[in-house]
Amino acid sequence: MIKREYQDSIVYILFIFVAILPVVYPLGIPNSVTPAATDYYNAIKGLPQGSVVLIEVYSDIRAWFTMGPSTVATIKQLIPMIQGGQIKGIVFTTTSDAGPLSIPLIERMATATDVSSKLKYGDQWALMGWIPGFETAQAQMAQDFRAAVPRDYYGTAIDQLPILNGIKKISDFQLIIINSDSNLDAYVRQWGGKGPKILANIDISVLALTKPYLDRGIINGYMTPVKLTSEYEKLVGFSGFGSALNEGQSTVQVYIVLLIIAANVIYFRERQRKK
Amino acid sequence: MSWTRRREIPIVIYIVSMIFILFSDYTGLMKDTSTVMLTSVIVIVAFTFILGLIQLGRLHISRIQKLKTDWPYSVLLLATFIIYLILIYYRGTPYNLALTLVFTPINLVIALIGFREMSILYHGARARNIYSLLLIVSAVISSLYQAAIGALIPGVNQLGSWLNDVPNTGVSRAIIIALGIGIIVIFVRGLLGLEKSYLGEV
Repeated sequence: MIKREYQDSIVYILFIFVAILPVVYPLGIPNSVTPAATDYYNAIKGLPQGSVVLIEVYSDIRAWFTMGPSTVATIKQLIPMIQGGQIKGIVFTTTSDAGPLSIPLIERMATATDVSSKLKYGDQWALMGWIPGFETAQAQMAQDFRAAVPRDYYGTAIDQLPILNGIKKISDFQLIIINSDSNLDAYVRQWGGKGPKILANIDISVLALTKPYLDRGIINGYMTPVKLTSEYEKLVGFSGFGSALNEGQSTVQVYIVLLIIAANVIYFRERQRKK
Repeated sequence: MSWTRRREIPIVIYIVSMIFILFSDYTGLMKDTSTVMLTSVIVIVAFTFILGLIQLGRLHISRIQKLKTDWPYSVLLLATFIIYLILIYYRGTPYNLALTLVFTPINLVIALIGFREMSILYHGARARNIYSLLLIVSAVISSLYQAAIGALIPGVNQLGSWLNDVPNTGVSRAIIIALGIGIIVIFVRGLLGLEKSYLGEV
């Protein structure tokens, strides 16, 4: 029997091998687009003329690989719509408990989509920075957005940002996209049912807690990492991180199943031996 | 005891401001004052970061002065903090470089918990009884359902969808309702002056 301290090393080595296998040898696992991805895509595509989209980022930079790709794909769908004049623009905010740690994630997403060169700051996009207070900040934004966020991240007064002309409270946005790896209760309490559609970019672990809101129509669509994101990237028309990680996720999931089976076989054999 | 430290003062502030905000929310009256109150909370929360900073400084400076265990890490922490503060204040290329080359990679490495999860699964996912077997089987089905390969395995999509839509959603609804009731209970207790947690009392 292999010593316990070596067992972990074998598990890790096999895990690395299984994870990078699709990079070396693409498996060609088919990935058909599901209704969830289509609903999310159509919710953005069907935005009315002149819409302003609020992207609220709760996650911080540690969630770049899980939460980043879905929002990057979302921004890539929005950019041509802004450039074509269908919608007015996007506004980034964060009320996260992580505080300013969410800003690097937003900046990384903006860099990945080249927002600063494709869109005009102030007219077509804006970064409002971190608003402290989490749910209190959300309540204030719902009631009086301009009082909650008097300046953007760079210190420019909100009155000097044309994209936010006419935005007085949260219901003046047409779409809110929440990027969160935690549950959405606070957002639903403060922003749910106020008028704007809400889409959720969430971690898979949070999907169960989000389902009741989806069923009731309080949240109008959702996106989860890797599988759903790869389907969404197909709809948007590019191959990003979601597509790149899709096969790796499949091989790792199969490895996890085999690992659990192996662990149980070893466990029952040792139990019988002790009897 | 000084009158400023009496328990009744924060209780009265809490009750009056909560009733005021509720009244404003339901009637639409006195929105301006309600906005000022909520904005004040945002400012106070920002100040709590300064309090945290002062406490952090006191703790680590004390460690360095008394040369306690691991005091070099305290030096490193304070030095890193000051450097980041200067970089963020002046922004520009050095800040972007620190963010891209130091801060982000360190945080991403911290987020690499996959190996630990593999170890936990290997040592912990043992079917010791019928309940753990059910848990393992449902976890496996849910995991495969979330991956593209799940569509290729017969039954995974249907079972995974059922698990998501029926037991998962049902339990989640129950949790959300319980949370909501709990929030209402804590709020009513706060209004009656029975809730002590925000006063720092157990």
